[in-house]
Order: sequence, then C-alpha cells, then structure tokens
Amino acid sequence: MADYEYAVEMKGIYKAFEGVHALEDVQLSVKPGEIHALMGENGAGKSTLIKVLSGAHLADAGEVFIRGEQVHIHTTKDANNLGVSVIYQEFALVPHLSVAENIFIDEFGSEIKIIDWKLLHQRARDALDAIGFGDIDPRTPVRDLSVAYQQVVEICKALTRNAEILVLDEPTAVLTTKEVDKLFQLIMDLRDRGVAIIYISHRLEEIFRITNRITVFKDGRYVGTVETADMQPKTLVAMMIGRDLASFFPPRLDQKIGDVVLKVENISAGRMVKDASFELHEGEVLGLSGLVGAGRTETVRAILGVDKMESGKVWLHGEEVHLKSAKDAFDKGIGFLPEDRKNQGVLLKLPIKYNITLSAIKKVVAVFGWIKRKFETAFALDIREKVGIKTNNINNPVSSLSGGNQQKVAIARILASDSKVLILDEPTRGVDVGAKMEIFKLINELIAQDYAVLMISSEMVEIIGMCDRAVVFREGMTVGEVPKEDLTEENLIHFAMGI
Amino acid sequence: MFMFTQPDPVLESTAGQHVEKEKNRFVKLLFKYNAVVLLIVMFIVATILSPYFLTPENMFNVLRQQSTFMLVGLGMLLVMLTGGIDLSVSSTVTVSSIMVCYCLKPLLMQNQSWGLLVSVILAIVIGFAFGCINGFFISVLNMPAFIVTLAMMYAGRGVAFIITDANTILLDQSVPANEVFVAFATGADPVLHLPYPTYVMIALIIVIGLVLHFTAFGRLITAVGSNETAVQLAGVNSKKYKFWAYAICGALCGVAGVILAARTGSGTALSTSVSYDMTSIAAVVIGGASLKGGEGNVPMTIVGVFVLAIIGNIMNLVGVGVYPQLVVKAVIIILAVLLKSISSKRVD
Repeated sequence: MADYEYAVEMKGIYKAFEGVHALEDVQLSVKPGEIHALMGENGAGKSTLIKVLSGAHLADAGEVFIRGEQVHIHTTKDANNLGVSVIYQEFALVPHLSVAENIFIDEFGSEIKIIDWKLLHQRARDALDAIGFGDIDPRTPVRDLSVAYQQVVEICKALTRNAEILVLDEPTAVLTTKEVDKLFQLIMDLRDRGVAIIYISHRLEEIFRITNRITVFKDGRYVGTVETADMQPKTLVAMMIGRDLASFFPPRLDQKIGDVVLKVENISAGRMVKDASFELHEGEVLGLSGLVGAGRTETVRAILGVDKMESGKVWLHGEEVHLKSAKDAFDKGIGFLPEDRKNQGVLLKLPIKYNITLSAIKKVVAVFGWIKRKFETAFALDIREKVGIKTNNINNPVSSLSGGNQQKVAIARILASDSKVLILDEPTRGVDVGAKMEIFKLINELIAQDYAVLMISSEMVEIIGMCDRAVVFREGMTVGEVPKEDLTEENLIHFAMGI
Repeated sequence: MFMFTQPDPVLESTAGQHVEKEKNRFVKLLFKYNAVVLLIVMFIVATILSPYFLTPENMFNVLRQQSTFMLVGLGMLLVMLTGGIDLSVSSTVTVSSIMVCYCLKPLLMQNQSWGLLVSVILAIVIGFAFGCINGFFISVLNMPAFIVTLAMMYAGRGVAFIITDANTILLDQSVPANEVFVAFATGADPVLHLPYPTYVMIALIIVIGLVLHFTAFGRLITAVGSNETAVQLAGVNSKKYKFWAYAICGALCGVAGVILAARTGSGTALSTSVSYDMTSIAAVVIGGASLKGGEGNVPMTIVGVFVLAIIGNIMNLVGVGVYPQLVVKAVIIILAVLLKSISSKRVD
C-alpha cells in the first residue's frame, strides 16, 4: 500500500449560503478500500460536503487532501483529474446516446477525433465485462435501460476515468430489491479492489449491510466517525438526532381539536401514489412522515388537482370535492405551500409586497382590477407583522431576503388569502435554526385560531415535536397512523422502513 | 492555500465603503437605464450631425412613422412579459391593413356612410382574432410560442396574398370615405400640428401603461412571466393571462394595420416583409425586458422604440444607405443588451 492512510481527508470545512451556515468545521476521512457511510438528516450538510469535494461548490475555508497531498479543487474537472467521481441521484447521462458513447463521452473532442465505432463498442464491452455487467449492449440508447442499469453505466463511466474515490448519493432510492443486491455486489467488488467509496443513504439497513465506517453530521456540524461493527441502529439514530432537540419546539398554545375538515380516501395517482387515506381535524397539526420519495408530495398534489388523481375521494368540510387546480383549492379555502421554495414558493425577482398579495389579489382591487396601492401596502404590512418577516422595505425583491424570511413570505401569501386549511410541504427546508423556530411558533399560533395544518416533513424530529398525529407513507401508501403519545423515532422508522 | 477568511462585519460598514456603495448605486442606475442614456446620446449626436433633425417637420415625421412600431412594440411587451414571443406581428399588421382596404374597395363599403367605421372595426377584430388563435394554442394547448407564432406568420402572409391576389388594393381618394381615411394619417391637428396617429399612439400608451402598472391584470401578467409554476401553485389561472397577452397584442397589431393602410392609402401583402416582428422585439429588449419574461415596462419600451427610430432617422438624414443602416442598428442592439447583461452580472 502507498504511504498514505486516507484516500480522502477533508478538514475544517466551512461553507455558508447567504449567511446561513451549511457546513461548520466539518471533517471526513475515507480510507482506500472501505465503504464509508455519510449519515445525517435531510439538510445536515452531506450533499454540500460532497459538492465541495467534487468542485461544484467552493468551500469558504478548509483543507482537502487526496492520497495524502493537499489539493485545491475549483471545478468538477479538477475533481475528475484527481480520481474523484460523484454519482448523483439524477444521473449525468445523455439519454439519447448509446451506452458506449456515454461511457466515453469525455474523450470525444479530445482523445477521440474520428470515431472508430467497432473499437468504441469493444472498449465499452470490456469495461462493462470487467465489472460483471457484460450483458449490457453498448449500442443501446441509455434511455432504454432500467434505472439500475443506467446507474451501472454511470459507475462504469467513472471507473474508465480511473476513479479511485467514488461517491454514491442515495443510489438505491429508485431500485428494486434484486437490483440493489446486484449493485451492492458491484460496490463490494470495487471496495476489494481498493476504491474508496463514500456512500450516502437514509436506509439504515443498507448502511449496516455494506459499510465499514460511518460519519455522522447534524445541522452542518460533524458529530463523529464510528466503526459500523460497533454500532446498533438505535445508537446510530441517537447520534443523528441528538437529544437536545426536544426542547427546541415552542409550546403549543391553547388548542381544541374540532371536526374533520379534510378527509381523503384511497387516493392513487401516477407511479408514486398507490393508496393514501387520512383525516385532518380543525385545530390540529397532522404530520405526513416517511422517507424522501415515499409519495407524500405527490399525494398532496393529486388532492389539489395539480396532478391528475386516478382514483379516490376527497371531502372538504364534509362535502365531496373534485379540485382541478391550485386555484380551485385556494377558492375553496385550502392554502398550499410547495416544497421547492425558490422555484415554486415565491417569485424571487418580484417585490415582497407583490408576493404577499399574489394569492389574494382580489382583496386589494377596486373596479376594473385597479389595485388600491395604499390599501395593498397596509394589507401587506399587516401580514408581514403577523408572520414576522424581517425586512425594512416590502418593495424589495424577495431575493434580497434570507431563506427563512423568503419562506415566511410564502407563508404570508397563503395567510393573506384567508385559507383555513393549510398544506405545508417541508415548511422548514433550507432555513436556519432560528427561522425554523419562528415558523413553528407561527404554526402554533395558527392552530390556536382554529386553522388546520397538514405538514409534510422528512425530518422525524419535526414531526415528533410539532404534530398532534402523524400518518406514515411508504412506497406511495399510508402504512400507519401514530397518535401523539406514541410519536417516537422508533415508531416512525418502524412504519417508514417497514422493519 | 485553500483558506478564505470569513467576512468581517465591522470592516464592511466603514465610511470609505459607504461612499463606494453610493457610487455603485449610481453605476447600477446607469446600467439599468442604459437605454435612456443611449437615447440622449443619440439625440445629441443627431442634432450635431444634421441641422434638419430638430425641425418640427422631421420630428412629426418620426412620430408619424413610429406610431405603428410603437403599437406593435406595446403588444410585444405584453407577450414578452409573460415569457413568450410573437413572430406573427408583421403578418397580423398586414392582414389588418388589407382588411380595411378590402372592405372599402372590393366590398364597396366606401359608398356607405357607415362603411369606414365598420371597415376599421373589422380590421381590428381580425388582428384580435389572430392574437386569440396564438393565445389559444400557446396557453390552452401548451404549445411553444415560438412555433405557434411562426406558423401564424406564414398563415397570415398566405392569407394576405390570397385576399389581394398579390396585387395592391389602391384606395380611390376621390371617394369621400377614403379621403377622410387617408387624411387621418397624413393630416395633423390644427393646434399642435401633431399627426392624428400620434394621438392614437399616446392614448394606447396610456391605456396599456395604466393596465400594466396599476391593475391586477398587469401585475399577474408580469408574475406569470416571472415564474409560471409558482404563480399556478399560488392559485392563479396563469393560462388566462397568457391568452389575453397574445389577444391584446393581436388587437394592437390590428390598430397598427389600420394606421398603416391610412398612411399609404393602400393595402398590399408586401407589407409582410416590413420587420415589425424583429424591430419590436429589439425595441422591447433595448428597453430592458428579458426574453425569459417577468421584466420590462411601458416607459422603457417607448425609449427602446425611439432609440431604433432615431438611428434610422439620422442615418437617412445624413444619407447612409439602407444596408449599412442595418449593420449600425445591429451594433446598437448588441451594445444595449450587452450593457444589460453586464449589469445583471454585477447585481448577482
């Protein structure tokens, strides 16, 4: 073996976005020939660290060593040249090109000037053979392959570039059990050949099955690195969650849970939603829990009529409704906060004021749609006050605000339209801890005013801290309901993972 | 080394940096309104180059010529605010101009007392109908604006040649209705001596300006262009606003067509080769609009139209040939948009 202990060593990495710390003094050391898991809740900073390693982000501070030598990675090309390959959930393959063309795409224009198809296909076949997937025809267009095989092509592409450090970001999220077995066999073969593998996954079972060591992050900070063999699922979960978080949720004000306001039964839509049913009462926060990709967002979109609902029934205040669009939903008093703030929640370039009144524009207009400007300003200021958006000028564009305040603008927009049933999809995604607390406090205030809140969250801690009840999704189905007194990590994980 | 110091909050608010900030703001404003600067510079250059430039005759001439471009530009602004584009405006203007002449002469409406009014209304309705067809395919059927309006451009051109049989319909100005019609475009009001089409232009500028900047309709058109998905999820029927942007654009082209017919006293399919499409897109873009939508306003679009108008005018006055003019225009367009892209990078 060479004269270095670690294939990758990252020390004291800092990275902030718009003043919000995504990484604070984070470290990671991966040995050659090991599978190293990177764990933490959504938003713990795993992806950000990987992006620093791959050159997609530049760290604000910190040192990176590859094979014992300090390096400066500024672009993804730098990373590739150092033997670092990242395989993301969304593959970087060109769907219309063949397997062979995709594997050697980097060589086109440099090494390959005139294409010798026979040679290209032979090289692709050899490369695939070498990792035990000789049954993939190099001439097939990538879009005709199953997702698992596309992943294999992606790994094969990385290996032909002599990748010695391979990062896999949630590789099994879309695979069937059989495909997972095959992928794991490949990963373990690569490990035995001395490749350093960084493996990101939420699935505990996988972590214990294949990894050698685990590094845990929480809220952008390094928690620790442990040997997988020394750990139990319970102790690992405790490490990921920390214990101090319970005190972090603001107390619920007086609350009385009333009648059912929204009831859905046996919803199915597309591939992601198979059978979802639940009830939401007035004055309660109902959590939709589950792993990322379990079909929660898709269920909500089907209920609202944004996506087509194939079967199932929806009742609003006891009356059956067939919502056709978000407009329809808003007209009937359901407010919807989408999960992707920047692309779906707010209009970044437009003023804060315009964003707040967007869904309730009817309230601020006189005849002929003439906007009563003074009234609009007063109206927007009033709601800004209630929601607590920190800005000194509501005519500034939303993009001038921090993530947390942007999210509050999106919430303000929903409240402006007088909706009493609120569907909040990941309301605290990408916001800092302080803003999280304020958003939770706001939700509590709304509950005291007889609003009903349906909250989707991928962070179990949030579900436990905020919800009166939780419904758990797995693979497009509602698989369990957990009442307040039984809301624990164990119970949620039990349903979410089916173990 | 791979070390970057954290920004120091104390350093950031020192007095020196404050002055720097003020200066930056001025530069930013300059970049933002670069079209205004451009217009002023060209005005000065034009005045120096030709003594004839500032004469009332020349100014009125520019105003008269620009009324059609201005109306099409306003329509294009609406469409581009939604993030779309309308390539069919030249065809729409032409079909509408032919429609007036066709009603008056071959359909003999020129002999009726109500004939002129009905012809004009029909021409505007035709323009509106073209816009509605564009709007229907683009908003309801979700087709790309570029393709739909490209197809409509060809369709309109074809219709224009079919109606006129590739001939020019020349209005007989001894007929009273036609005389009134032509006098509308060529004459000027007795007090201010402004051409009548200029009044139409000003009236429509005011209407569109008010609608765009002071009504919910205008607000939502801009919002749709800014981010259609977000607006839809916010409970707004975005398709409605997209549809009306194209429909209004069509109607404005209809009005422009009527003015064109009145100015020339004729209707010909050859007008389809007048580049209303590219000129209006260029004007709107010089005025700071984005092809992606959500940006742009009426005052700056007016500036954009006049920037292009004055380049053309001054080069005519000093005797630059038609073809070199195109190259100069290209340089000005690139320059204006370059300044904008530099300034938006600075903001980022």
